[in-house]
Amino acid sequence: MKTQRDWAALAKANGLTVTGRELDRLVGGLQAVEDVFRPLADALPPSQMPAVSFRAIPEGDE
Amino acid sequence: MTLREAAVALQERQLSSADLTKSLIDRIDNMNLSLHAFITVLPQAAMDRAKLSDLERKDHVDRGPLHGIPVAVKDAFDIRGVRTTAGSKVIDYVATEDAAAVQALEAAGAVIMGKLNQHELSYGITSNNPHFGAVRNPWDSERIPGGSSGGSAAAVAADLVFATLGTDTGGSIRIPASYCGVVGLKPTFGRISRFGVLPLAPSLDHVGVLARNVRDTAAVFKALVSYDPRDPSSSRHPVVAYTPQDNVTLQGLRLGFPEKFFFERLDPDVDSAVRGAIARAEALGAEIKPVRLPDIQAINAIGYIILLSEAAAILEPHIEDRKRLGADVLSLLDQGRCLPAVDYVNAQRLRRKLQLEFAKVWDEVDCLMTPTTPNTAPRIGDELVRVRDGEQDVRVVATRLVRAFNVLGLPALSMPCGLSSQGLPIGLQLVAAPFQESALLQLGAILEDGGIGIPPSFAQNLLW
Repeated sequence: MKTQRDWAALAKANGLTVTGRELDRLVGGLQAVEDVFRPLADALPPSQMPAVSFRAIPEGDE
Repeated sequence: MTLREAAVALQERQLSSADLTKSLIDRIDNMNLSLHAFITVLPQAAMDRAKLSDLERKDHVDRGPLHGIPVAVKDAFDIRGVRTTAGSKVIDYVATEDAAAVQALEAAGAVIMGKLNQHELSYGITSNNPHFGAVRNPWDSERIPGGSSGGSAAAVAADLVFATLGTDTGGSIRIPASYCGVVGLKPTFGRISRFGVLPLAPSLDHVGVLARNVRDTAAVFKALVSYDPRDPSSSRHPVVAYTPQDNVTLQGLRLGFPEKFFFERLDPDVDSAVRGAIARAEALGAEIKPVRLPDIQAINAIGYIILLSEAAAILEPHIEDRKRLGADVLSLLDQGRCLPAVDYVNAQRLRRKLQLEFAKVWDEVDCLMTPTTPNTAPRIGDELVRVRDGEQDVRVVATRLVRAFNVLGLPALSMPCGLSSQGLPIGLQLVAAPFQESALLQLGAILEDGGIGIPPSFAQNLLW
């Protein structure tokens, strides 16, 4: 888990001015998915493309 | 009376659309003060449209099964000349153009009765709206209807209209359908245009239908499907016949039973009702196949990150208007602001990987059958709910079995499959491969014909 996030630090860095209770709620929500998401994200091969992609013709080339 | 029964009565001139519309306007007047299902009622526009519909019939114009039928749309949909709020105080404008789905309903002759209450900005599952009142569940006024399309489900359950439109970003049609005992269809991503609908998370947002039964749902869905270049995700996939046929069996249908994850931590009444529905499907001729799915918990986590990121971006212009946003919405927007772009991109990369893995499931089975929600409708104001042995966040519980199908873009239908010991509706979820809505609707109709649902005598005993 080399890229585990410090959500409280990220909240501060993003300039969020929230109370301690609000910060707990915010960190709790993000931490709940961290343990599932982070190992999967760390294991992605470089060749894996995202599900949203740019198209040279913006519409009608499905 | 169902939509199809009303359509026959209108067609045979046993009933006029004007009389039907007037009776439902009176019903909305009586009930909306306590139910809080509508934000905006459009009595004059609805009566004008109903009278026009009757005149068209006299001229032998028949626009199909929705001709003269009263319906309503979630407040996230634009109607030209009408206020849109999406259940919030930060969005408030009069639309200059109809949403594509509203245009389609009008072209099909439907009578739009108004705009429905919802969870603020479609960002939550309770519909406990701080600005327009908590939507009440018609089965128990102390309970939530689910959300975010809570008014859409409550209005159908309380017989205020025959069908409604909703949106579903992480279960927002299927959860209220489950809690209110109605049918809710979230189609394949891109199947119904989202033009003119306030977005929440553009790569997860779907427009769909709620109605009293599967065949009524199919009739509305059919009117909404077409390619729309105004929505960049709109699909050109061929449109097929969506009307379920009568006298069809489930012989030869392979139904997937994903016991792991989907049948863990369920309310015992939900577990029993859904297993009963599966047994009934088998008795009706389906082959029930245990199936192992890719990691649903991982797909849910990916969906949550995508939702937080996209919603924070979409709603960023309003994020500093903190005093006019509900506390739950604000907390989610703040979470989204903390997520690095790297996490969003990696979530979309994982999404594609898991989408490819999940596609193999359709080699083994034609449809999946699962519970829609692990529980029945929670009480208004409860933040934690007890399911089996532990308490959990009400949002986590409600979205646990539905969110993955937004991430995967798969069509999913919730239909009632019985009542709990407390007399609350239980939802059964059917899921199919992309663009297989016709199979879902046919399966749902056969199950309904086979006795899966809520006995009409119970449905008539609603509080309102």
